[in-house]
Amino acid sequence: MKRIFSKLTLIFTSALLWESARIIGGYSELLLPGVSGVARSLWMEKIELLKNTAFSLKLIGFGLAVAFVLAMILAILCMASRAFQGLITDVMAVMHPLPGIAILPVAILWFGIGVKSVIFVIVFSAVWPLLNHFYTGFRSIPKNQLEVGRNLGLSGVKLAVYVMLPASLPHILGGLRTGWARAWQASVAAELVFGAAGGHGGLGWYLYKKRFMMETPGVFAGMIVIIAIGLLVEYFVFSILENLTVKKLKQVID
Amino acid sequence: MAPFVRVENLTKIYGRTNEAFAGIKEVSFEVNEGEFLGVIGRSGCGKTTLLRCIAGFESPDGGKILLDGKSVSRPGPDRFMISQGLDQLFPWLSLKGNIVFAMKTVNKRVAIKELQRKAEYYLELVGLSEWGDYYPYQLSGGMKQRAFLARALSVNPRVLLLDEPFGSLDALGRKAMQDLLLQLWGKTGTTIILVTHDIDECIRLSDRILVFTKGTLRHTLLNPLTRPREYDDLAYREFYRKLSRILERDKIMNLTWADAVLR
Ligand SMILES: Nc1ncnc2c1ncn2[C@@H]1O[C@H](COP(=O)(O)OP(=O)(O)O)[C@@H](O)[C@H]1O
Ligand SMILES: [Mg+2]
Repeated sequence: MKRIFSKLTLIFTSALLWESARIIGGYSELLLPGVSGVARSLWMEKIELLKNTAFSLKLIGFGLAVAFVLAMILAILCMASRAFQGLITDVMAVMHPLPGIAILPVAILWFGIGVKSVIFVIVFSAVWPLLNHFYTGFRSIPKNQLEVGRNLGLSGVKLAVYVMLPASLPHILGGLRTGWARAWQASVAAELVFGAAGGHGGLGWYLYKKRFMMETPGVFAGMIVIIAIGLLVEYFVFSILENLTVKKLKQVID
Repeated sequence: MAPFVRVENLTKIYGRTNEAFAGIKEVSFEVNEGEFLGVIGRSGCGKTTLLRCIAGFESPDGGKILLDGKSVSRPGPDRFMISQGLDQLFPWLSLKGNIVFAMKTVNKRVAIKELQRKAEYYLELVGLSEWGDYYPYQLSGGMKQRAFLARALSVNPRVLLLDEPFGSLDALGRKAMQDLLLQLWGKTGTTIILVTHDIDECIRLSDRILVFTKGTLRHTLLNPLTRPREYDDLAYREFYRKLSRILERDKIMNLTWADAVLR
């Protein structure tokens, strides 16, 4: 409750500062729209915004799912083979610092302008942090627990599903959290930079369109939605998931 | 009667460093069905390695292991091992959940209701009836060790492999666990191979004792004592002296591995 109150205070103060900056600076509506203008824009365009949000989230959901499966497979292979682990560590060292969006030109070369390129960028952005977290998680599983699993006759996929996954759940959630943030940034950037979704939609595309048409309040409205989604996912999805699983497990591990 | 467990020329070497070595070399012995076999030796003599090979966690560099006449190599619930360390329960499952999971994994067709009833039975066997809904972090070390026993028995292993199972307990807790183990052994008739470096533990529990030195099986002793065995019996003291002299002598000789093998 207290936290919600402090957040509301923060939002209110920001709005106040924003509005007073505009009045004192005397900026035009085109450069810095007023709070009321942005709010109106948010309200008027709610359907359009909702549609574009849904579109972005759909791409991210799909991209994250692909990245998740890919990272899981790679992490399991790393556990199984020393040589593969060495290879992946090197690849990761090279790829990790590369911002996902930097791969967009290549993606466009390979897949053309469109949804496929955006998804490729999302997968690329999310897969390395996911893999890093998963592998760290797998390595932190006590040897005794893996061996109890093997002793019971589990191996391969079954060992992964019944022992490795639950044992490294905190790390997996941590990975998803980073992966989600990267994917969200990457998708907005990819949609925005070249309108790479090819005019199909997405919040990035929405920003691009609004700027192109000089509808600055619309640009701000889009940005607010982007921030809001980021916060919502962070505070609702991940907090709830963590409360359900990790908090309990953390106690358990101590 | 044909031997139940047969270990033939088992060799496992973890890599060499000059004359020193690590592992076990050409170990052969047999265990009868229902027997309680003790394995004793100084730390680092290869006791854990032996158990891990039998359990299938290590692939031997030579020799083989037969269970009831059939060669075994991969891990399986027919040889259930309790390792050292208190982190053997799955922390995301309750105590009862751990046992149910073990049974379900080994025997997929039995209904969960039935497994839960069985889990309660095994918890009762080890005196943890009231703790089934607790999570591993809520249990003491002694309780965890009881839980390991309950889980191990719940999957009905043909051989139970115990690696210094009560090592982390104080003397009183240790004796209580030994008594519990004997009682469970009497009830289930499971074949047990117990590894220890504690002479008393070995004498109190085992029918027969294998003495290991530097990776080789040096002596096999039949335990002459009748059960129950008490520390202050004359025969007990005498057997204790005999066993400790053997262990002492092996230490003084301070064999290198090469010596031990060449002999
Ligand atoms: N995975 C391993 N890699 C290398 N050396 C090992 C490994 N496991 C055990 N050893 C070595 O093998 C020898 C026997 O170990 P172990 O079987 O654990 O002895 P014990 O259980 O009797 O104390 C020791 O010298 C130990 O350091
Ligand atoms: Mg050992």
